[in-house]
Amino acid sequence: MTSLRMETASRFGALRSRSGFTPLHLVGIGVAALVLLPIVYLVIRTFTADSSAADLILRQRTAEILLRSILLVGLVTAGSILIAVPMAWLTLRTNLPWRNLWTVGAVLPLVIPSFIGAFVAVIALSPRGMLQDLLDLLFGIERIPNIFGLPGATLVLTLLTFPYVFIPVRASLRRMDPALEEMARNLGHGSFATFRYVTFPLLRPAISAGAVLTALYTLSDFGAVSLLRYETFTWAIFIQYDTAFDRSIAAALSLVLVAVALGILAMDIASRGQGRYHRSTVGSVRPPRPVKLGAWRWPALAFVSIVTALSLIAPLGIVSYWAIRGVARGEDVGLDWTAFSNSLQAGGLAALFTTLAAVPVAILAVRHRGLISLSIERAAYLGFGLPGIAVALALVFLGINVFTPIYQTRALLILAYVILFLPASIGAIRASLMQVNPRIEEAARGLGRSSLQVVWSVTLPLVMPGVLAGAATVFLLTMKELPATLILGPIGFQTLATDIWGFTEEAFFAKAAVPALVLILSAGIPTAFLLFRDAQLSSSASSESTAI
Amino acid sequence: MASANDLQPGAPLLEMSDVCVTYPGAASPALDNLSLSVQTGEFLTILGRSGSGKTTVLRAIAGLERVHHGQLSIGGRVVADPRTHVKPENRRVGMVFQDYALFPHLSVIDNVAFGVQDSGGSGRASIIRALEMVGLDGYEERYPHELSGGQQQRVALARSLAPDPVILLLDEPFSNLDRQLRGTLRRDVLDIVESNGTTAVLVTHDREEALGMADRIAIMEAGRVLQVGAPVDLYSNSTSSEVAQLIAPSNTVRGRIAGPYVDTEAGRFRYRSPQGPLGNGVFVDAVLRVHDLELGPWEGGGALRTVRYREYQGEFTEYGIELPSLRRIYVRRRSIAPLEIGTRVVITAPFDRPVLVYPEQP
Repeated sequence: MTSLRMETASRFGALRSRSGFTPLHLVGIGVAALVLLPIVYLVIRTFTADSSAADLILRQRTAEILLRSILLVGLVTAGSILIAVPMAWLTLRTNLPWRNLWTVGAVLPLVIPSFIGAFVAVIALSPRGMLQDLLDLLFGIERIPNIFGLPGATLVLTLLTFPYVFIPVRASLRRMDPALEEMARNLGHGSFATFRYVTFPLLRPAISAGAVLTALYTLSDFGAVSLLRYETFTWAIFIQYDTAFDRSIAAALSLVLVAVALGILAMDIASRGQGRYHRSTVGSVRPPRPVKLGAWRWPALAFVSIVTALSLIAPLGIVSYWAIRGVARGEDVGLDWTAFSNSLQAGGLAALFTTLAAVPVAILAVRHRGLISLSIERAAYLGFGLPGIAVALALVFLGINVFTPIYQTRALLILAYVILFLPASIGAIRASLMQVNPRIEEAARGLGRSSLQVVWSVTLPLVMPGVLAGAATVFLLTMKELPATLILGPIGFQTLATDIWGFTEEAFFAKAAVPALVLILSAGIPTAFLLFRDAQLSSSASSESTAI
Repeated sequence: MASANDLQPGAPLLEMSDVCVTYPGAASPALDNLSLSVQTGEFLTILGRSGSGKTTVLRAIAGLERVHHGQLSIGGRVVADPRTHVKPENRRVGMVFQDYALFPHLSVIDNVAFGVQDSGGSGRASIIRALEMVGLDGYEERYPHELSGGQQQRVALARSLAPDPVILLLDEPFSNLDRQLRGTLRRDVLDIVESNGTTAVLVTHDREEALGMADRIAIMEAGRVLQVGAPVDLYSNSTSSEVAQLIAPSNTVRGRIAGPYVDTEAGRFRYRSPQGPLGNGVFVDAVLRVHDLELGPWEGGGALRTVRYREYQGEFTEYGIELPSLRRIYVRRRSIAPLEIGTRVVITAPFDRPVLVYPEQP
C-alpha cells in the first residue's frame, strides 16, 4: 500500500533533485531575500529608532488608523460579496437576458485604477460636482451627502473590486456539478434551501479566495483613500513620509500595515487548505438547466444594470466626457508624452526583470519540491500581500542608507515593482509549467541533454505562453501602480499614474481626464483580456490578479 | 563511453546488486535490496502489480532516481551507488515512457533528432534509419498531436533508438493502446529490437505481454525480485505461491499433504512441490490454475461444490464454483457442453498438470 502511494507520488513529483541543493536553489534564495528585504528592514528600522518601538507603534493614532482601515476593508469586502455572488449566479444559472454582456460588464471595472475611480467620484459627486449641479438645476437641492471620507472610499472601492469575487465565484459555479444541486432538489429541498445548504457551501472557497483579494486590494489602496481624504494606513504613511522630519513613525505604521496584510494572507492560505472540495468534480460536466426568473427578471435586470452603470459606464462616460470637453475647448489637456513614455518604459523594464526573477522560482516550486524551494516560493508569494507603499518606504530607507548609488534612480523603482509583482509572474509561469509532463523533460535527459540544456530547449519553449502572459500582466500592473511610483520615482519622474493623481489632487480635473483615458485604454483593456483568460482557465482566484 | 562491444562475452550488460531506492517521505523503500542482471542482446521483461516498484527499476537504471544502497553498473562501469551518480544524459540509456512524453513543440523528425549528436551531418543517417525502422518515414513534418496513439508510440521508440542506446527501457509502453493495436505493436517492437540487436528491459503488469516478449522474465513484488528465468521455467516451476499466482490466473486454497495427493476443500489433487519433497500432513498453499482444472459430473457423496456463476467468453467459458466454505474458485473450460448454474460438480486436475503446492508460511 505504501509503495503504491510512492509510485503515484513519483509519477507526479518529477525530477525531484535528490541531490538537494542545486545552483537553481541559490538563485531562488537570492530572489527570496530580495522580497524579504523590505520587511526585514522595516523591522530593523522600527526597533532601532530613537524613540522606543513600543512608543512608535502603540500610539492612539495608530489604533484609530487601524480601526479606520479595518472598517473600510470590512465594508468593501462585504459589499463586494453582496454584489458579486448574485451577479455570478444571475449571469450563469438563470435566463436573465444578455447574460454575456453583464458578465463582461462585471469583469471590466478592474480596468479602472482606484485613483481614476476616485477622480470620477470627486468630479461627479463632490459638493460642487456634476450631480450637485444637476440636482440644483432640476430640483433646487443644494446639498447632497458629503462624498469625502468613508462613504466615498467604500463606494468607489466596492464598485471597483467586486470583480475579484465575481471571477472566482463564477468559475467555481460553472465547474460545479449540477447533479449535486439536482440531487438536493430530488431529496425534497426547495431552491432556496438548495442554495443555502448545497450551492453556497460549495462556493465558499471561491468566495473566500475572492474576499481575500478584495481585502488586500483595499488595504493596499492608496489612490482612492488619498483623493477621497479617508485616513487609512496608506494615506497616513504617505502624509508622515511627505511632511514629517522623523520618518520613524512612517516606518512603524508601515510595519503594522504589513502585519495586517500578512494576517489576511495567512487567512487566504488557510482557506486554500480547505479548498479541496470545490474541485472535486473534474471532467465533463453537463450544463445545468437555467433557472426561469419569471417576474423576478425585472428586479434582477435592474440590479445588474445599476451595478454596471455605476461601476463601468459612469466612470468611463465621465472620463470621456471631460477628456472630450477639454480637447474641444482647446484647453491644456495634460497629456505629457514624457509621462507616457516613462510609463511604458517602467512597465517594460519591470516585466523583464520580474520575469528573470520568476522563472527560477517557478521551476524550483514545480520541479524541485522540497523544504528550501517551498520556503522560497512562500517568500516570493509574500509580495502579493505587501502594500506598495510599505515596500516603497522600506526601499527609500534602504536607498538612503545602503543602496546609496541607486537611490533616486529608476533602478530602485524597478526593484520595488519586481518585489510587488513577482507573484503575478510566478503564478502564470507555474500554471503553464504544471501542464508540462515531467516525463518530457526526463526523456530529454535520457537523450543526452544536461539539465540546463533541457530547461533551454524543452521547458522554456513549452512554458513560453505562461512566461509572456506573466510579463504582460506585470507590464500592465506597473503602468497603473501609484504609491511606489510617487515615493520612489526620481525627482521630476512622472508617469501617467502620477500625473492623474497630481492633477486630481489639485482639482485640475480637465487635465486629469485625458491621461486617465489613455491609461485605461492602453493598460486597462489588455489587463481585462488577461484576467478574462485566467478566469476561463482556472477557478481559484490566483495570485495572477494581484492589486491592479 | 562503454559500449556493448567493449565487454567480454557472457558478462552481464546491466548489473544491479542489492539496490535500494527510497522516495523522500516514504516509509518503506521502493526498491529493497534488489538484484538483477541483464545480458547483452537480451529482452528482459519485469512483471509486477502496480506499486511493486517495477517502474522505479527503470528510473534507477536511467538515472532518474538515486541509488541509496547497493550498486548499479552498465557495461562494466559503475553508474550508480550511494556515492556515484552518473547523470541521466551520460548513461546512453534509452527510455520509452508509458505516456510517450513526446515533445509537443517539435515535429516528428525533430523529436527523433533530439538525442542524436550532429543531427545535420553524420547523425542524419541514424535518424532516417530509426524512422524507417518504425515505419514512420513520410511523417517527418507532422506534430505529435496529429498522430494516432500507435504512431506516437512508434515515434517515441524511434526517438529512443536513434542515439543508439546501450540499453532500451520500456515502461508499460502499450498500456495506453487498445487491445488489437497492442498485439500488433508488441510484435513490431520485438522485431525492431531484435533486428537492431538492442538490449531491452520492458516493464508491464500484463501477463501475456511479459510472457510473450521475454527471453527472460523477472517477477517483482514489494521492491524485490521474487524469481527470474525463462518464461516456460517460471510458468511451470514457480518457486513461490506469489510467483505462481502472478504468472497465471489462479486460485489459492489451503491444503494438506496425503501421500501423492493434496486434500483441499476444492477436492483431492495430484500435486507437484517446486520447493522439494513434503511429508504427510504438512499444510500447504495449493495454487489451482484457472486453465489447469477440469469439471466433472458429481457422482454422489463428498462435499458440496456447485456452479454459481458463468461467464461466456467465446471459445472458453469461465465458471465460478462455490465451495463448502461458500468461497468461490474459478475454472476456465472449453465452451462445449456448458454447465447450468446450480449444477453440482467435481473439480479435478489432469494427470499431466498437477497442482503446485508451497509449504504454508508460518
